[in-house]
Amino acid sequence: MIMNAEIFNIQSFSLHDGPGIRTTVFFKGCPLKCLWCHNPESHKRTPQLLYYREKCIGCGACVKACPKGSVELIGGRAVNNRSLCNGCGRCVDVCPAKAREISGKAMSFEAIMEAVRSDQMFYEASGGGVTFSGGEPLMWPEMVTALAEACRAEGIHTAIETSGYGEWDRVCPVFQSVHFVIMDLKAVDSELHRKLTGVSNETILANARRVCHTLKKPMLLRIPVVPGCNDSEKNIRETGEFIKNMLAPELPVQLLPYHDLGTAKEEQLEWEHVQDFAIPEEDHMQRLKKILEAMGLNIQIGGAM
Amino acid sequence: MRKNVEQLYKNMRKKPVVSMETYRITQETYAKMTGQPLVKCRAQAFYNIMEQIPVFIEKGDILAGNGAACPGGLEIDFAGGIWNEYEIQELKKDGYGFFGDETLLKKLNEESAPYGFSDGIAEAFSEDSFLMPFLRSGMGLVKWDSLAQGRQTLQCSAQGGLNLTPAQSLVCLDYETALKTGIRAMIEECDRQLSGLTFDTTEEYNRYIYIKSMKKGLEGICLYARRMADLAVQMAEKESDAQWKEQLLQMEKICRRVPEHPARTFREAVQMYWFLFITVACPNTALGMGRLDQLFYPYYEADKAAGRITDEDVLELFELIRIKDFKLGTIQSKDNRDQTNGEAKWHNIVIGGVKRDGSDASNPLSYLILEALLQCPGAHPTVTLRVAESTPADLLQLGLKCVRRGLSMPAFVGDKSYLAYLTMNGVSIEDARDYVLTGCIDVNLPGKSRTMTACMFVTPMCLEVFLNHGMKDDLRLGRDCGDLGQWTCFEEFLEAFKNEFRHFIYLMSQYCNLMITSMQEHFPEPVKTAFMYRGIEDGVDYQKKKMPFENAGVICPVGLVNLGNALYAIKKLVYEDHVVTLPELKEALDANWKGYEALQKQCLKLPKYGNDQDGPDALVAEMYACFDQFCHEMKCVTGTIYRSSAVSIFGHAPGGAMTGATPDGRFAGETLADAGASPMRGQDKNGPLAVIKSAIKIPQDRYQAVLFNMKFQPGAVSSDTDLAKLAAMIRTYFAHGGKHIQFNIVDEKTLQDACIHPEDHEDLMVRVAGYSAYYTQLTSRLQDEILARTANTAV
Repeated sequence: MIMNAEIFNIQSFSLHDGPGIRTTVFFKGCPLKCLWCHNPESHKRTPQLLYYREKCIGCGACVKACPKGSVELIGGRAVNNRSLCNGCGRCVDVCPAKAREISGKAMSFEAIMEAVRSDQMFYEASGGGVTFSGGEPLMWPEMVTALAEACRAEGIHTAIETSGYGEWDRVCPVFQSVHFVIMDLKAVDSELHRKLTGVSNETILANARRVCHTLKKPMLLRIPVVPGCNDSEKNIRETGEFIKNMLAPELPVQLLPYHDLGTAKEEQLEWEHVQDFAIPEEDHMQRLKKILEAMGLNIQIGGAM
Repeated sequence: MRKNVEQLYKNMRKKPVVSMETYRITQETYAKMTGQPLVKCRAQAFYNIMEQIPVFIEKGDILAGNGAACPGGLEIDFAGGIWNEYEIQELKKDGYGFFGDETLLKKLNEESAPYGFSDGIAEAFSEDSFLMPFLRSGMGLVKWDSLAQGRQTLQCSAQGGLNLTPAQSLVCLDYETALKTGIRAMIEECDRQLSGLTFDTTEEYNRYIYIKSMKKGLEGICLYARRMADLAVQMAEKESDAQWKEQLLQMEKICRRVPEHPARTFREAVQMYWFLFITVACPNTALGMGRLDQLFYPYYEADKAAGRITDEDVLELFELIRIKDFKLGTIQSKDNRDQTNGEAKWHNIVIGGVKRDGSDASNPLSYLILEALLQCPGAHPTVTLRVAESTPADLLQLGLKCVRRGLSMPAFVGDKSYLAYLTMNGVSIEDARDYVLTGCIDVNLPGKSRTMTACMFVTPMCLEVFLNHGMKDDLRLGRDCGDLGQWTCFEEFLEAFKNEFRHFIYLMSQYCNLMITSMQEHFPEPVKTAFMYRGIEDGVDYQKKKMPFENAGVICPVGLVNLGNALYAIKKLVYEDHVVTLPELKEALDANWKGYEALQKQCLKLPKYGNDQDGPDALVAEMYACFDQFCHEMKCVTGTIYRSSAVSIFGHAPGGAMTGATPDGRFAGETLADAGASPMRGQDKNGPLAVIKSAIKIPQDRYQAVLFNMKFQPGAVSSDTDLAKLAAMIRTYFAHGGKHIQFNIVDEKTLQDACIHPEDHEDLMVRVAGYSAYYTQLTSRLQDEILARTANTAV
């Protein structure tokens, strides 16, 4: 019925992606390019090679295995020509040093459902379920909707973790089909948003309002706090105002301090490392929390729930 | 923590000193009683220890009674046999001091060498016995290189506690009845039984002597308590600190009341319990301390209602139990210290679970026991939280908070599977509900059962010997299976292996029978028997008679996970995919994979237990079922069968060291998978839920215990809601047949080691802000970063 979707991870025992113990399905592909992205391997909709340079022993097995001729041995280590690599993964199978990995795997509806179902016993005791994340799950609206509806029919709680970016007509069925929506609010100023993520935020803000008011979905808002990007008092205040006036003041809001786990993956993707971000200070987080609380909002630092 | 307790806690971890007092008193008693019945000698020696052992009260310690002649002391265990010159010197080298003149130990050994537990085992066979190749192979731990060396390995132990018992038994006394009855009434019961005896059979003669001995021992306990009372009043007379003086006088009153008479208050109950614990139960490394929240609750409830006690008072006593039990340490022979973590101890306090009527058993004391653990952390005694469906969420949460503090306890056990095990073995549901944990997590019923051996058996070595035509090096352990190419399918091969597997388990049961017999014949325990089921009425040693639940002989399989994975590799590569023949695989194993690296890689790459993959999981589960079944086919000298308990304790390291390469891709000598249901290190790649889904395929209900370790990085469970989710995971595991789970919240050291030896830590999970990763896959920079964070959160 539905074509496959490209999945880069299905992680069980996710504790911070919604209520209870959750199995998070990570979809590949994202229309946003956030400067601080934690999951850069999810940007493309197709499989991508991850390379752990320090593990390479220079045996050359990958050079022989690659049908595209995209690997060379230079200075005793494999060097990848990313423009030739199509992520077929043959080099991964032969690497004796476990220095190579493919992120992304085409999975069928049934295969995803099976993975989700296999954790069902843990959902029951914890009030958990499945969370569709990414990348951007809204890039796969038919698949996510089908999965969510099937889960609902089997009594499995569903959540989506999303940037909110997508044409409403296409993504509305997705939001309708899930029980719970977790949406990021990175910046309210459109120009700032474009600078940080590569896209403007009108669609996102409009979709947030529709999810909240038209669909009346239970919702959680997350503000990633990235020093030098969106952690100014001004942006936090504007975000607070938006939540209070345009959404609903009682919605739970989480302030998520930036962490730099994504930078390791940047190295593995052999991206040029453009920018370092600091991890926000604890007292700065507290100050931002107080600002929002003074506006009458329901604020928590960190993603626990 | 109160000031007095704080001071005692500070001194808790001082290196112990060895005391020879109980050893000397026992030797002297035996020397004077040559030719008299053994049980009488044992009881008299016990009485003399109670009468003569130096007594002391440390300032601030309001719980009277100590396990040795001096503060921080450990008594030489009489059942441990001779301490030779080498052992004495090694002890000194390792920094242990002596109480009194150390040359006395040598002198005592030379004058009349004691007949130890291992002498009793070795009594029944010689160097050319059919059992020697088995013992020399190390398949049954500990390895005996020769008759003499094996004896030595099992000898030499010094422990805290005043009784004369062999250290191996897993047992929990019936404290509840004793606290209600009082020892005076038990002595009167002895008299009643004695006066009613006629002499028609040999048994009655033996019973008479036995009960008479029992009575002597019971009188000894009362005498010891009176000596403590006398000491307290003497100290009070000279004491200038008014508060401490008052405490001493109160202690005097309590020690004059208990244990002779029933306990009336919480304080008396705890004091009586402690007297019995150090005099009757200890020394012993694997004791059940009992369901302390149940045992003391009636006294607590009455005292609270009368306004006689506060929760701070209760906490003080629970903290003292922790500190004082910690000091009841153990020292074993040099070999044991080096090879097998020979200073380990398993005194186990149980909380939670259900009552005999099935209603929830948790009460305020359950929480206070955990609170005492938080206030007074230490490796001993361990605490186990019984988790029933009815266990309150906040109790489980408090337990997990202790775990999060890096205390690695309490352990959690599932009532459902434990009750299933007991009831399927004929225990009434009411008795079953009263179960306790002894040793790590082995089940026993207070007063109604005991495990006399729980020996470790290295299962992957069975496969090695089988493939090697019955030989281990130059030792013949089993029969020659013939040409390895003879089997046409995996089922035929497996059948042939199982036959030999059964034979090795038979050899193990023979060895265990000797251990049990040695205890029965040479170490009768009249005093302990008085606190066991129908002890005084029957007048038969509790080690010899049939107990309401019979689990005297238990065998602990080590490395069943490796065995299952190895068999799966054979099934897949030899019989399904025809990648290699069995003789070729055998050559690769013999070469320890040298020259067969590609084959080893193929073996390692196969699915492994712990990832919820039915191929290997099914074979691991089948080997579990098979091991249990074979144990049941072996006869135990107590007239019953052998039982299985999947607790490898420390056995996976030495067991692995002695086992050759295995078809799961493991090198010769590599440490085996630890515990029972835990995957081989680094082979679980799909997170904790996949491991749990593999673990519940094991027929755990049939095992006396199945140990399961799980590691977390402290950050992984930092918020209280995270803990609630962990609690839900535990409940799910138990609801689906899991028996036990314990968590390692890993510390800085482990993380550092993971940087140096990543291959040993592939399963180490770290989590930061909602994102999980395997630690060893992170860059060194990030590892450093997480390392730094851990240092901040570690206790």
